[in-house]
Amino acid sequence: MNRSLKSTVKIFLLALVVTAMNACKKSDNTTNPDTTEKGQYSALVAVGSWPNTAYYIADVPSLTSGTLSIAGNGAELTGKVYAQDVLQKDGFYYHLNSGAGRFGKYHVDKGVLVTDKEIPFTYLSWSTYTWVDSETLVIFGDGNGEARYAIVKVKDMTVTTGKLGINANPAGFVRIDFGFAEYRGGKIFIGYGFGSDDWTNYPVMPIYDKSYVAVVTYPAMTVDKSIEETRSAGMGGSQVYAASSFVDETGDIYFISDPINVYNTTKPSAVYRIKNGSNDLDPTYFFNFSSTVSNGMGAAMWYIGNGKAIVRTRVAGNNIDADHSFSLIDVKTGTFIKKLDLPTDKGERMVNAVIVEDGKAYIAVNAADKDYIWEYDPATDKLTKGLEFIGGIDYILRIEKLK
Amino acid sequence: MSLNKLLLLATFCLFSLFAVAQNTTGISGVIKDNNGPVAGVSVTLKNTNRGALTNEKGVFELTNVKPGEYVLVVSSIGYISQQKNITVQAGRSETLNLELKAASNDIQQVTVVGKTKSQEVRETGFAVNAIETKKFANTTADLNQVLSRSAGVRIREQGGLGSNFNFSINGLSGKAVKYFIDGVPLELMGTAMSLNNIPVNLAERLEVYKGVVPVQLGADAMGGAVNIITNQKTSNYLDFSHSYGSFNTNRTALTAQYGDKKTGLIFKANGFYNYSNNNYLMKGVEILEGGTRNGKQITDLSGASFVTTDIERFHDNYRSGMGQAEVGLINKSWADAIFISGAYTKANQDLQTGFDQKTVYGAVTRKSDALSGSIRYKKDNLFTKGLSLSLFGSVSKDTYITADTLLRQYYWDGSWTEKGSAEMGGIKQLSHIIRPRKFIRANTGYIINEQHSISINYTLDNLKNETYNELLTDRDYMPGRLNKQILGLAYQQEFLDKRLTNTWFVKNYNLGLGRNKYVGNVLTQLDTSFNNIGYGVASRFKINEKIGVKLSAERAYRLQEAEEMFGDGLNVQPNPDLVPESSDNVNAGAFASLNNGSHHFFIEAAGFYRNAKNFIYLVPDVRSGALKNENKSSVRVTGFEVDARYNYQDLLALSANVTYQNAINTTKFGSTESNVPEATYLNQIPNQPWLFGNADLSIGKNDLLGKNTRLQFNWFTQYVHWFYLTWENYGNTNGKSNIPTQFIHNAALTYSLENGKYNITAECRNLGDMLAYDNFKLQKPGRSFSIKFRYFIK
Repeated sequence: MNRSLKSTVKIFLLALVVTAMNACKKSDNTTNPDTTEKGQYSALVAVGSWPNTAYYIADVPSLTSGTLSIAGNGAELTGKVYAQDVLQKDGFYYHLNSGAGRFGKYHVDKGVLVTDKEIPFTYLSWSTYTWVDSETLVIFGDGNGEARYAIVKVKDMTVTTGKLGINANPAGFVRIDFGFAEYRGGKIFIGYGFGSDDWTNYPVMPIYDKSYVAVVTYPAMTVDKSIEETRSAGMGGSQVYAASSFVDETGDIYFISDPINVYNTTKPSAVYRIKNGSNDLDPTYFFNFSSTVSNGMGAAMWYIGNGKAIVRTRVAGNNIDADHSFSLIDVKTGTFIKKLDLPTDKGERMVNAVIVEDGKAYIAVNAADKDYIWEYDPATDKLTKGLEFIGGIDYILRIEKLK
Repeated sequence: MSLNKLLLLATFCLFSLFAVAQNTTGISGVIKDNNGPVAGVSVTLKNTNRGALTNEKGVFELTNVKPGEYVLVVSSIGYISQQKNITVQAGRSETLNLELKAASNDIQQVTVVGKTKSQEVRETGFAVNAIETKKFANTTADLNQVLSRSAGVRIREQGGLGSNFNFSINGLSGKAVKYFIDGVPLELMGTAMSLNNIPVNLAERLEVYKGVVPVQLGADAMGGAVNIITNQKTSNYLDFSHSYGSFNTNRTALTAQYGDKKTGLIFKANGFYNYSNNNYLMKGVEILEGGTRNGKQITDLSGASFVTTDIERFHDNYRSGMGQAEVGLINKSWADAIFISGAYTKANQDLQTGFDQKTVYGAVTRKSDALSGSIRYKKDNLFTKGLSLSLFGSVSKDTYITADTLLRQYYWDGSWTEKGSAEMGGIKQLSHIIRPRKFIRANTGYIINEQHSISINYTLDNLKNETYNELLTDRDYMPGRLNKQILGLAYQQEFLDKRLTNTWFVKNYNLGLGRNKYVGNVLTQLDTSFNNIGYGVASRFKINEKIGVKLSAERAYRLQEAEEMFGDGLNVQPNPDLVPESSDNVNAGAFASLNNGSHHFFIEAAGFYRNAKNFIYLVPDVRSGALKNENKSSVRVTGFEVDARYNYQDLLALSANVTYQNAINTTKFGSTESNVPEATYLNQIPNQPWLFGNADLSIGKNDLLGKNTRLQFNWFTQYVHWFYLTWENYGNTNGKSNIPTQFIHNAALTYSLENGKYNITAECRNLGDMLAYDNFKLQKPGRSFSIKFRYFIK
């Protein structure tokens, strides 16, 4: 064997050693620095470009201070619940995986998403939901082109299903666009409209001009009536991603519409009210939200108390993947108060971005620079930086109050 | 390091090697017969392992011959062998010219000490795996199974026979890898003509080009290319085989040739047929217990719950077939070879799962069939000596139908419930993809002199892509059109007695895409065209007869496809902003061979570098449920591979290879506008094997159980180190998903009679019945047995 061959062998051996060392390095990484959750708040975040986008639910120890990184932290969702439409109540997470026909209940323990129960569920794909009480979730969505519902007793994940007797699809409009849903005193109010699946002229889509709010008697789930509405369209976004309605202290229901979300480019985004005791849209109330925000749209809305709400506002235009800001409105009087002085939100189109604690609002903002949860105190009208998301998270998709 | 710098460095390195080169001592000469020079004559030095073949001018060369006395043996089929004594003196080059005399009997067996074609390919400047399929011919392997044993290649299959797979060469995969058969795209023969079901017997040799692809394979093969080379010999042969094994797996292969020496007329036939139920056992999957049932249907899910069990797959039948007939003429004054060919391929496939094991299908099927016709022509020394021309043209039509027409959710035991959507999650579909296609390839080469040659390659690929859902419409009224032209120019230099070869090349990629679309209710023709120029070099320097170094580099592209740019009119939305994928690829390696009497040892080690940008991915849109292709991410791969093989006579053969690759995410900013780099920037790409290897042992003995028999035992082990399903650094390690280590052993025993005319092989795959996964824990078959009969005459 001559000299050159010897060096070849040396290189080969060196390579094997390097490989072996690398192999060791990989296998050693099994301990974890922090496995305890405080369990007060959580955040669902995404990192990594497609196709290696990964979702995590990370514990948020404090809304007002500190940092959150998912380096070695956060419950991995890949392989279990690969989605952002994960509903949370009382520390449990719920997700409907239509592809695999499973509806599951989960919680996070020691950094792991634990499956409490998964049931076979194939009846519908969810779009919107409302909680009747803390044990009863009602979900709505499309199943075989029909409007369908399911009443879920979340304690043991038992379901009752049925068809929702809303208006029949007009000819040529096969899609049902579900909007907001709110339960109040034996009735569920649910926004809906019809859409086309004719993509020929996309992004210009055929538009069905009428939108509706169905009034449904619970638990019989009979549709009392469908209120017709033409001043706006898109009666609330898909609630499983972000809220577009609420019931205030007095029992009045408010919801915000987003016409662009249903490809309607001519109508404004508006706030509607259904007064307590009434089963109709308040005829005295129509808040043209777009006119106050340079033709922006209300993508999501949260009630922060004392008649005020925060609207995640998308800049004008036909694209729903655009910049967002946060607007403070007086929802009682239907007036615009101001645009909160926050960095431009470059985040996902649908974000469950606001939670309310002790009368203060906490707002997650996916900024171009640094990502914070901001505290807005309505009493002092002050914005304060709180928790910082560090390490380069792509999307903050949800923040949740667990208790 | 930029590609330019690397090229500069490469050139520098190669030229420094000139200094090392020394005066040569050797033997050269011209071998003629009474008609002139004879090519392909074996010239060997008796009692050494040194030998060479004459080129087209009858010239042979033996360099670096140690001074001494030798006997030169000159032999060729059809000629009387001759021996000449020759004395070689230090620092002198001996010349010996000979005239051969025709032998009285036509055919004479000659042992050529020259190199096998595979070895020659290995010793070019390209980073290439050259695999002789002969040693696998008696096994039930398909081409994927043969290729997956080679260094740098990782094939991730989703299941059993015919299942979807992802072919990766040095970390680049998907559309970045292109497949060829005898230098023309494999897909011309249809969807069924795929590496996952072509039996090994159809191929004579396989070549895997890594990152740097010769211009002759005119394609935008950014990550590399696989070239299947069929039997090109002019002699008659028949190779027929059938195997039967576990899961009712049947595979039949036929390849035959009959030629008439007088007229030069040749008939060829190739075909295969595969069938399998793929009903292997799935371990630890969930089925439903309880509920109200009516036969297989669960009419009421109340009270039904998931329980874990082991159960056989129930909807995974696969059937595929191919038939090809060729007729042609060889050795005419106007053509070395001219052939016309017709082929038909067909495949029927049941789909059992979606992207993970939880998504079970029970009625989804795929069918494809394709008809193709082609003509090929080859002529060397056309008009003038050294000018060669090769032409290929084909017309084909490929039809592909996916049927998903039931509103059902299936479970692993075959039971089902009604579902609000079709099985695959959307609306019911009977979706057709129809692709009429025209393809032309022209290769021309010119040998300027001993040192310099050039070649030009041109391909034209014209494709129409019709996609429609039969349940909604009767045809695609706005099909996509693609016109791809690739012009490649290569210039090859050979210096220092051919010890140094450089191949410089440029490729011009021209792409034209078109689709009619309604824009504001007006039917508008959308079209666009791109031009990209790629370039590269492949160099090899042989330090001596045994050791060589090689280096190759290319700036490569993977062009957009019509439906990627314009959508498919169904679910895929257009994205006119797409740019081609591109990659800077570099390979550097060394090889050494050591022949000592009957011991043959070969080792090759190589490092590789890929800097790939703008990968195109189909990204789902949450709002519309539609999909859109986007330039999503960039990856830098570095790694190395080592391949070693040893033979002792025809008794023992050992080979092993190991590949390490480190794929790093170089996507700095994600989908959101941000000044902060993504967390995953410079992280290792998840869900990709990064350390894997293979080991192969064959031991065989002739005449052990009777005269002219051979008994051979083969053991093959494959190792894939475990890897994370998601980003290594993120998320709590307690709950991280990974794909566990796979360590799979296979064994085969072959008994051959009458010098390989009759062969019977018993084979066991996955001896340990290990859980084998490639993708998202989609289980592959456990232990399986098969038996194969093969009849081979030549």
